[in-house]
Amino acid sequence: MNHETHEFDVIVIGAGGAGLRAAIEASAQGARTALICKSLLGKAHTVMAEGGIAAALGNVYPEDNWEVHFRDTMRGGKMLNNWRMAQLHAQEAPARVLELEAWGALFDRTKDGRILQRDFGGHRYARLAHVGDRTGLEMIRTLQQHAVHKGMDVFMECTIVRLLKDGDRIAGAFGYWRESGRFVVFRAKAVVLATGGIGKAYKITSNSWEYTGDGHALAYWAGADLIDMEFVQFHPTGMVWPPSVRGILVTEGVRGDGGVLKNALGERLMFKYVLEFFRAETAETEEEADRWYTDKQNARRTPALLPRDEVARAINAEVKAGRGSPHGGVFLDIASRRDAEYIQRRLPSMYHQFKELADVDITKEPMEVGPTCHYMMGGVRVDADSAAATLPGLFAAGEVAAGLHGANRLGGNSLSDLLVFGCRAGLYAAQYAEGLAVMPTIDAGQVEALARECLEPFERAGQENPYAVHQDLQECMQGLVGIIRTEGELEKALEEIAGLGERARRVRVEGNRQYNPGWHLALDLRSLLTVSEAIPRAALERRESRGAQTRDDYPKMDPQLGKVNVVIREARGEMAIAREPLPEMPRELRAILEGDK
Amino acid sequence: MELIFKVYRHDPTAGTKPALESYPVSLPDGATVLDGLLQIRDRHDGGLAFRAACGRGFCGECTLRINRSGKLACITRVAQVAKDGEVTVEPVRNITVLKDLVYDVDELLWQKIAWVEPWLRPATAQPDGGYVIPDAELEPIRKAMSCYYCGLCDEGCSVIPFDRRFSGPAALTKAFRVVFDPRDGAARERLKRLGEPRGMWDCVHCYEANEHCPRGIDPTDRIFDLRDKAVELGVKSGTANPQVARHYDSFAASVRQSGWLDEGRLALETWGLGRLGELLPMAWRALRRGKLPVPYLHRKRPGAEWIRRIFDKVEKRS
Repeated sequence: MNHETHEFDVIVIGAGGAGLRAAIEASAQGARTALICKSLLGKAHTVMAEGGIAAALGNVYPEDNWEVHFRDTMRGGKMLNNWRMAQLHAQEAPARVLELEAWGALFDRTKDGRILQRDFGGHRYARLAHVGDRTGLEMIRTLQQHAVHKGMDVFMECTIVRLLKDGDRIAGAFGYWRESGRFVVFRAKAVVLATGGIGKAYKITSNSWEYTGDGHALAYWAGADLIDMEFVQFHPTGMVWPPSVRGILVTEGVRGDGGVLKNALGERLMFKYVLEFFRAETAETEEEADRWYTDKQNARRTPALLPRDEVARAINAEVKAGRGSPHGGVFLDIASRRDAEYIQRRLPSMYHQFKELADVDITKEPMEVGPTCHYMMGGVRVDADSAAATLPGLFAAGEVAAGLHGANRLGGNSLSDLLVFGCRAGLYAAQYAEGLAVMPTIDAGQVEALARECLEPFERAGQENPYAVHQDLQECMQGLVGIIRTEGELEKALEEIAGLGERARRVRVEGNRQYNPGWHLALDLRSLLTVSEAIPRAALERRESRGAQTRDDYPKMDPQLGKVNVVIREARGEMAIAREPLPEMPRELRAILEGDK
Repeated sequence: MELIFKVYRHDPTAGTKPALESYPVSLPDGATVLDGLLQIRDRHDGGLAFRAACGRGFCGECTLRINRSGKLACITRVAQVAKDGEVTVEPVRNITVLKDLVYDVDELLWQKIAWVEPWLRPATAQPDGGYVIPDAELEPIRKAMSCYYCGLCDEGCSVIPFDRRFSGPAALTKAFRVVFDPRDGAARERLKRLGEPRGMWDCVHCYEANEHCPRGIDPTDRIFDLRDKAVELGVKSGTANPQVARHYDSFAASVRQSGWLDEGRLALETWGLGRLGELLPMAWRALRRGKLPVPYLHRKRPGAEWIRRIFDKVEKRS
C-alpha cells in the first residue's frame, strides 16, 4: 500500500499548549522537529481555557512563593501527586509565564502595571495570570506564532493511529491525513505525546471533539504504563440549559471574581460541605467569605472556591436532595454581587456565551450550572524531571501525562503544567534523540498490516454506525463511571464496554477516504474504548474515596491506598492492574506540607 | 423544531458537481446550526464533512455561510436564521473546497497572517519580573486580542473576491495587534510593509468586516488605525510600488491645490505617459457618456485655502 514517509529527530503529537511548547523547545535544541495535530493549528483544546495560568509570581500577594503553590497543589490532589512534579511545576511556572510574555502574550495588569493574578479554587493566594476569561486563546496564539516565527514543520489535520517500535524503543508513528485519507509514516528517534484528554468518552463534557484519549491509548498499546486512570475531574460548573449546550464550561473565574453557588432555596450551599481536611482554612460565615476577597490576612477563603472535586460533589448532593434549579443544576450568581461593567470586563466570554446560547444576561440573572466531565488526571506514567514514559524514546506532557495533579487538579494548574512539562519534554526528547546514533528501523510489514486494519471499516459486512456506538459509550460512561461510583455499576460498565468493543469491530462506513468523518470516528473509537475500559478497571481497584474518585461503597479515604498509584499496562493482550508505591517525598518537602501555612 | 437543512455537498475527488442536498432535521429549542449538522451526520450521512472544534464560540473553526451570510455554526441559533423552515449551509466564498463544507484554510488566512509577521519585536528587553505596562495601555488592543482567526471578516470582504492577494482584514487585525502593542518597537518597518500593494491601503472601507466580526473587533476601523499611524509616523507608502506612490502623491497634490480631486490628472500621473495606452478604452467609454474628466482644467472649490492650511499644518507636524 502506498504511503509517504517523513523523517525527524523528534515528532510531537498534539499542538495544544504542551505540544507547541515541546516542539519549540526541541527545535531550539537543534533537533529536527515535526508538530503533528489532528485539528487546524490553533484550534486545540487549550484555546478554550479560560481562567488563567497558575504561577507564584507574587505580584498581588508578595507572600506567595513556590512552596505555597506546591502545598496547594499537593493538598488539592489529596497527596497522591508525584511530589517531584509538583515541586518542579511550582518552581518553574513563573519563568514559563514570563517567557510567554516575552514572546508576545499580554495579561491583565495590576495597578502598578505588572501581571495581574486572580483567585481560583484551592489556591491560597490570587495566583492565576490571565487575560479576562480568554487566557487559553492568548497562550495558544502566542505559542503558535512563536513556532511559526522560529520555523518548524507542522502537519495539520493528521491523525496518528499507532506508535511504531524498533524492538523495545520508539521508532516513529503511523497515521493518516484527514483530508485525503492517505497514510503517512513518521520515522523518528523520539515521540512526545501531547494529545490532551479523554472527555469525549462522556456524554456531558466541556471537552472538544479531539479529546478521544488518543495519546493514552497510543502509549498503552505501545507497552507504556498508565497511572491514576480512575481520576476523572468533573468540573462543578458546566452549563445545564438548553440541552444542546449542556456541559459547556463556566469558568471558575466567576467564583474567583465573587460569584457564589446557591440552591433553589437561595442558600449559599457550599458552607454545608466543608470537609475536616479544609475546615481550618475555610470561612465559616458569609460575612467572612465575602471579606476574604479583599482581605486575605484576616479572613479565611470562601468555600465557593474549595477544590473542584469538593464543589462538584456538593452540587451533586444538593440536586439529589431536591434543592436544585429547574433544569437539574444549581444557581451560580454573580449578578447580585458585582456590577455589570465589572462582570463584562472580567468575564467577557461568559457574558457572550450565556447571552448567545442561553438567552441569559449574567449581569442581571443567575446562571444554572452543574458538573461536567472536564479533565483527566490519569495518563502516561512519566519521569518527573524528563517527562520520559516507561518506554524508551517516548515522552508525554500535559493532560495525557499523569502525576502532577494526583487525585484532583486545581484550576489554573493545567496551563502552567503545559508550559513547564511541555518545555521539559521537548528538551529531554531532543537530548534523547541526540544521544541515539542511528535512526531506529520501521517494520514495513507492520505498516502494511496497520494500513489494512484501518481500511477494514470500508470493507466489512457489518451494519454498525460509528456514531451510534460512540453515543452508547458516552451514555455508559456518564451513567456508570461518573462522579459517584459503586462496584456493581463499575462491573456493569466493563461488561457494556466489552459489548461496545464487539460492536465497534462491526462498524461499517460509507463513502471514500476523502475527508470522511464517519471513518475518522470509527478509528477514534478504538482509543475511546481503550481509555473507557481503563477508567472503571482502575476505579474498581481503588476501594476508597479520594479526590475525583467517589466510591459510594467506600466513602472514606484509606491511608494505605494514599500511598500507591494504580498502574495499568498491557500484558498478553489483557489490561493488567497493579498497585505500586508513590515515590518517597524528601523530608524538607514534607515539612512544607506539615507546616502551619 | 422541524426544519430542512440544505447543505452544500461536493467531493472534488469523485468528479461530481457541487449540489445542495436537503435533509430533514428535528431540533430542540435553542439548538444551533452545528447541532443540525451533527444530526445530519448521525442520522443521514456519516460522511458529511465539516470542521468544528470547540462547539461554543471559543476557537473560530466552524466558519460557514449560513443562509448566504458568513457565520460561526456553533453560536448561530437555528431559530434566528431559519427562513420558511429552511437553513442553507455552504462553505465560505473565494476558497478551494476540499470536501463539502471543508475548505483550504491555508489559502484563506494563514499565508496572509504570516505575511504581517504578527509576533512581537520588542523595543526593549523584558526586565526581570516582567514588563511594566499600565492596564490602560492594553485597552486599545484588548478587543483585537480576542481575535481567533475565524476568517469571517475576510469572508465578508469586498476586495478579496476581486483580488485574492489582498491581505484582508483578518491579517491586518493581527498587524494592528502588534503595531499597537505597547512593547513593540518595529512600528515603522511594519507599516512600511503594510503600505505595500495587497496591504492596508487596498481596503475600500465597505465596513463588511465590521458587520461580520463575531468578536466586535471592527477590523475596518483597525485598518484605519494602521493608516493613521502610518501618517502620524510619516511612513511613506508605495516604495515597493511606484504606481501606488504616484497615485497617493497626485491625489494629495490635487486636493492641496484645488480643494478637490482632479480625476483626469490622477489617472495621468498614476499611470504615467508610458502606460497611458492602457487607459484609452476606459477614456473612450467615459467620453461617450460625457464623463471624461479633463486633466488640469480644474476649478478651485470655495474654501480651498482652508484645505491648503490643513496640509501645511499636518506637514509641519511630521
